[in-house]
Amino acid sequence: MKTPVVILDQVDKYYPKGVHALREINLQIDQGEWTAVMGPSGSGKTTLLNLLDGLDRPTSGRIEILGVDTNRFGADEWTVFRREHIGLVFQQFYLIPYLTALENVMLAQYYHSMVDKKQAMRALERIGLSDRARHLPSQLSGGEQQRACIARALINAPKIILADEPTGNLDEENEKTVMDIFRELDLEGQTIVMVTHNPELGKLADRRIYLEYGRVTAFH
Amino acid sequence: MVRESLLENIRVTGWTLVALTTSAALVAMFVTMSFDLERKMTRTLRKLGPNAVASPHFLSAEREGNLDLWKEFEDLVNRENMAAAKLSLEVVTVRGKPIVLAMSDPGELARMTPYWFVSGDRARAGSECLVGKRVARLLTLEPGMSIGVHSTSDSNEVTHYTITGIIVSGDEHEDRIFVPQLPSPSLKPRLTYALLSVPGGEEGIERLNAALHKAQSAIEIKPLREILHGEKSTLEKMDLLSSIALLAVLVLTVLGVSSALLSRVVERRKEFALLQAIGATKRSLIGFLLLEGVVMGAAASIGGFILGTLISEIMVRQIFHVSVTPQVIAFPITCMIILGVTLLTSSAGVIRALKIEPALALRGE
Repeated sequence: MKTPVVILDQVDKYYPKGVHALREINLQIDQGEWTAVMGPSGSGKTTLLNLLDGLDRPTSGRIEILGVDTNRFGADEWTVFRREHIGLVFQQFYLIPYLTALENVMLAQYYHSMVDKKQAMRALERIGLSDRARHLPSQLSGGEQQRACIARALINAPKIILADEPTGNLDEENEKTVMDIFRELDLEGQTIVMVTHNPELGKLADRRIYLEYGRVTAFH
Repeated sequence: MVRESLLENIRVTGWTLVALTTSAALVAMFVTMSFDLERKMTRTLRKLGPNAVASPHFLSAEREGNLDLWKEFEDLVNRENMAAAKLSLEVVTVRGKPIVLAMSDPGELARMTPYWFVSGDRARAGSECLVGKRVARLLTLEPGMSIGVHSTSDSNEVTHYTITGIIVSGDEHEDRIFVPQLPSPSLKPRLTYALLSVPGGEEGIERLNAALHKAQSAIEIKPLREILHGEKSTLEKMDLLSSIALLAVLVLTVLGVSSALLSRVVERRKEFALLQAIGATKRSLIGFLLLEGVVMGAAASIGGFILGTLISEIMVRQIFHVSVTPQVIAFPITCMIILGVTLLTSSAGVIRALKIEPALALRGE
């Protein structure tokens, strides 16, 4: 039997100036499922992801993650929940520019519990970045930066990985490398929610959700 | 991480450090001078004339003329390396008018009366004298003239003095004639007193009196309150002026550093948003920003203390021609004030950082 890890019930999101970003979203994501959220620009993909990671709040509706109603969370409670259970991968990598790849990974450990350099190094090894561990982000290629970002997202063994256009800024070769990592994670049973507008990448996921004008228009 | 973060934003860090170090140097200077300069200033003011007068107790007046009466006092003056001028007064007759004649060592007198305006020269030789302005007007005397001084007790005995100068002092000294030695060795002065310049104001005078009392001296030192009050008032005004200047500098520092730190937070919006995204609570962010401030404040305090002490040394040496004594207490005071300023200025950045919406910042909005 499949265990739901994310449940969205009648979720709406308005932004100031009357922008209705998400409309009546009802969605369930099961454990171990790789879900691709697809749709054109401005369809609400990133907004949906931001509601799942708690960086943004729904205007109405209920979001349940890992059986917890997140609507009752304050900002710090969301932060604690996020660092315990969610790993984030960004399109623009967002590494701290003055820390090395290894230190960026260790930073997530620091906020989660305690720093373990060996474990952080193993995380970089897993994604093939151990030889660049002591390089600053500015000394890494885009693909390497994204891999460091994935290592940071994985370091605390999160229950869910939320990835926003993880290959959006990468060339074809690096895109393949990153997608190989996601495929591997999927095979290990990792729950992944990936935003992408690329249909080819969407095909790699177990399930695709299409958004248009803030509404779910199709499931595949 | 704090070190790397400060080095990453080296421009803002540099400006903040310069502003804080300058303030710390001024605080250290102010504290050092407050503790040390007052003493140095008092000494400088003491070169401007006497601030106390010493005379025998009323009950000891019958001992006047006894040479030992002033012995403990003179020993004390020598021991303390103080400036003093002993004056012995007698009433004599000059050109048929009773005049107060004051006998004093010319060198000691010159040191105690630098504020006198002397028309002509000060008396040096035993046969020379200085005449007060009002006496000169009364007897129509001028420098270069000779006067005959008749001792009242023995009017037949006349001693001649050459006038070297006329004194304008604005006080009772204008009613006197000053000579290096009394006309007759047998003449016993009616009254002897001493003008003194005592460092340390009333407290210094109290200390000297205690020493004289302990030595069972018949001499008592009394403060010239108008002088002491003037000196104290001058020092207090200087302190007030310095405090206002320091406060102005601190306020300007707070404003300058606040805006620098604010702009630093704005530049780092994405970084703070990311920190929140990967697990930094608001408390962690506050701690991180305050720690950055404390590190800069501590560095500025150490640098500022050293710089401030050096500048104090140079300034005091230039102005007062003495060396400043470094004040250890200035260091904790500088640290406290600068850390307070840093935390105050950092709090503006902290408030701004806490208002960052991670989702918006990461989207670049």
